[in-house]
Amino acid sequence: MSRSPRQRRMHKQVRQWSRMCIALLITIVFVFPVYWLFMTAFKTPSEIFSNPPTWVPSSLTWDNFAGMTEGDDLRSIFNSLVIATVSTVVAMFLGSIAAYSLARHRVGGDSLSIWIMSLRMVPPMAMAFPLFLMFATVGLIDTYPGLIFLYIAVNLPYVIWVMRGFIEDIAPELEQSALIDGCTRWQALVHVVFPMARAGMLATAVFAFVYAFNEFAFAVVMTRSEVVTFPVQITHHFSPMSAFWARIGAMSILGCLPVFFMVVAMNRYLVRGLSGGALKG
Amino acid sequence: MANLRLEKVHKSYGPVPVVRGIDLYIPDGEFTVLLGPSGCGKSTLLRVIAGLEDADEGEISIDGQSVNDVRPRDRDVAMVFQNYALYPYMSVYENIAFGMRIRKMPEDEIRRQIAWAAQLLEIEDLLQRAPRQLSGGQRQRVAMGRAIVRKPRLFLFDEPLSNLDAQLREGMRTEIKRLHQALRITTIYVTHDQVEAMTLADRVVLMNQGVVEQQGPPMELYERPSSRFVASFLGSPPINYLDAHLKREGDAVRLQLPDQTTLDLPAERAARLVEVDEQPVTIGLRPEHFVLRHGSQAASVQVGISLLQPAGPRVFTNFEWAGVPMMAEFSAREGLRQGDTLLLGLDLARAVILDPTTGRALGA
Repeated sequence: MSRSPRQRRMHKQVRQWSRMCIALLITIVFVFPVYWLFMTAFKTPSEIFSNPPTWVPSSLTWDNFAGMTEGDDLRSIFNSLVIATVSTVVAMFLGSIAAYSLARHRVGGDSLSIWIMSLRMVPPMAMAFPLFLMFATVGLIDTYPGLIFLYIAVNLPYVIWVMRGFIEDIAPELEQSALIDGCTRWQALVHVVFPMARAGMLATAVFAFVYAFNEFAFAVVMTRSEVVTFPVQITHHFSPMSAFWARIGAMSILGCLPVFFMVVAMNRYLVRGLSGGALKG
Repeated sequence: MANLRLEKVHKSYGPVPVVRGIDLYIPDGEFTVLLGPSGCGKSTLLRVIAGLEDADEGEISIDGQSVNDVRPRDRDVAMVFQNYALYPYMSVYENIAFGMRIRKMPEDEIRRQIAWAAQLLEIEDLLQRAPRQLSGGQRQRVAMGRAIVRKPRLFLFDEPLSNLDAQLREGMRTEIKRLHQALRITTIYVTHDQVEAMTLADRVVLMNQGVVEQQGPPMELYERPSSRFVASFLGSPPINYLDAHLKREGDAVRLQLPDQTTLDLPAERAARLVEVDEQPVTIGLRPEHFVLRHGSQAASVQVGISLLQPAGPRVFTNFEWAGVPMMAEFSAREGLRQGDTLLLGLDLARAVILDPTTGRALGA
């Protein structure tokens, strides 16, 4: 049975529409909690619990954001920014040069890099308590250096593994040419290898940063009151009696912003970096 | 301007020896081609000279000074790579300037050098472009520009033309030769292409399995190869071989073929064989060592053409002689036809005579 071209066109359109509908449905299911969080942040406490629920706040209130200036909310976001930034920069630097030496000098043969990657597979909770004891002994609990060290250590295997793939993709002749042209190893690294791996480095850095910024399990164990990070601070608004949803919403929005802007700004590199490393590693 | 000396240079990758005891002296201003099949160690040797690889043993000296422990940047050499190795994120201008910037040359001097190189290589219009906007030949010129602006003591080329198509390759070959004649910088050029080697070199160093098989002016290697390897590697179409027995009769030297035909060697060729006893030999005859004879003459053989391969002005002619398939090369103007019977003379004065067991040339 053959169909007329008209029928075929109809059929194709129906198929396209049904696909769109399914995609839309899935999107709604996943975006809804985010939407609800946003709306909650702008609602008055009474409106949050109104029944039936309101889809759009009757009046936009900034009180929930203003309230964050009191207490430790803003400070916790600042703490997270500092810890995530410093740990990412250090992990990127150390990880990139380690990756360079794995990729170019075959340090440790093939097994070393796999061993490094395997470190990332240890469940955090398995490490948390031994680490807590170590940190307590040397006085790193509830300090910036404590969490920064920890996140560097956790991010390093990831950075090394991914950067090794990116560096292996660079033609070695580029570096060799730089060495002959008058560069030291370090200069060749800075002037040739890093610029060549820029897209991959930025993508890797975004991932390392997002991890450190969102990390909860270690942070809740390693902090008390001085350097409480943003994910831990949010939980302070859940009390046994009630949860301060408006404040949680406002904090979440503020907490998402740095990552959001970062991803938007580096969108171009992220796509290239992610697909570029896909074939190697 | 510099000379280069290598003494007993060895290099292995793990258990695999790649360069096995190379002695080489390259005088100031000479154009030397390292030639050989892939895997013969020629590129590795070049990288050892550049300092990108350390020699396991032996001495490398430039102008009499040992550079074994000198970093590549301080050897004052420049290298052009097969894939050009241009930095894709820099303009052509910045690519050429890179080495001078790293060496902290003043900006106006950099500008002057780049202007000079750009004019020499005819790339003035390309300076602001990115490498990806250039054709293969243009990239090649930029890579050479980057090498010449520093006025290095040694100029190293690693198969620079093998990524170009045939036509462009000929153009760039001319360009490289012209550049060398203008600048007279000591040059070491690695290739597996015998045409490049023959046309460019003052001296060819033919390598095989990590050692130098023979070195000398290109025509000397071609006309008087020291071994069967050299004789076979050079020449296209390849040399023909024929087993024979060398016999002496007084001062005269005769080659007796398996079919009992005997060939008398010309006196001057025989003179080079005075120290050779009667023994089995292999005769190497290049395609141009066969001469067409019209009418019957002495010292000629009769063969039937089995196949013709016209190649413009020349025609490659296949035939069988003494049971061995051979190829000769004649002028296309002879008007040969498949199935014709030819009367061939042999230019035995230029024939290569080899010891069949050692593969070394006799009386070369």
